[in-house]
Amino acid sequence: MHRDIREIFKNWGEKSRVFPKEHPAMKEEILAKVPFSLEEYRITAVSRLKFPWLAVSFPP
Amino acid sequence: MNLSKDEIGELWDQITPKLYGYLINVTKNRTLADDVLQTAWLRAIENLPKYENRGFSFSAWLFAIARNELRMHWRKDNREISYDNNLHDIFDKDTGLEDRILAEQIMKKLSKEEQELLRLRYLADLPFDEIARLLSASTVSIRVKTHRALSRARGIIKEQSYAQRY
Repeated sequence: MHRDIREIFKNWGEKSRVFPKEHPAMKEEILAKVPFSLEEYRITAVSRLKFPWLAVSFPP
Repeated sequence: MNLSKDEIGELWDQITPKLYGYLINVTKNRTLADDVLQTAWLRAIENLPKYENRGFSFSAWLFAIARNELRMHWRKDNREISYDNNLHDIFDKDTGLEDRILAEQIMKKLSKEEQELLRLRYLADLPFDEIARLLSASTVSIRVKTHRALSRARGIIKEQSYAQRY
């Protein structure tokens, strides 16, 4: 056996990676759970950076 | 951490094959792997505003959640594994079959700790420092242990080829 053991395990690892059968439906379900507030949170965080006085006037 | 739906979708595409492959390998059961995968992602989404990347990638964080879910499942079910007989159906039959069979044969002969290290390193594709954080160990000790696991694996192959020859 002249092959490198790392190469064998690397191949094994790569070939063992699979998506679940119901992958598209599962993905959709997970993404549907991303709360709107998460996007809102991002916008709020950016505006607080742009307008630091907002953070003082309206603490989170 | 603030991620948009699109960014989370990209993370799903990148991480899910690794995490699902890992879960299939650990549980040997597709239904359980499906459940843990889904629960882990849901927990991650719920806790996303609390997540901060302090040298621990989103991928490693998700693996930590999934491993915790598995632990809780096994605690409840007394670690009873029901093997899925049709598991081989989910893998591509044409490519890498030889290495997969060989690696699985070697894995069976390694200790549980060695198996987990090789799974996290080569299947989950996590760097040593993240594996170390996941297993609450130092990076040096994880490197050494992985090196030892590979040496043992090399020894097992030698033994097998010797046994086949004589």
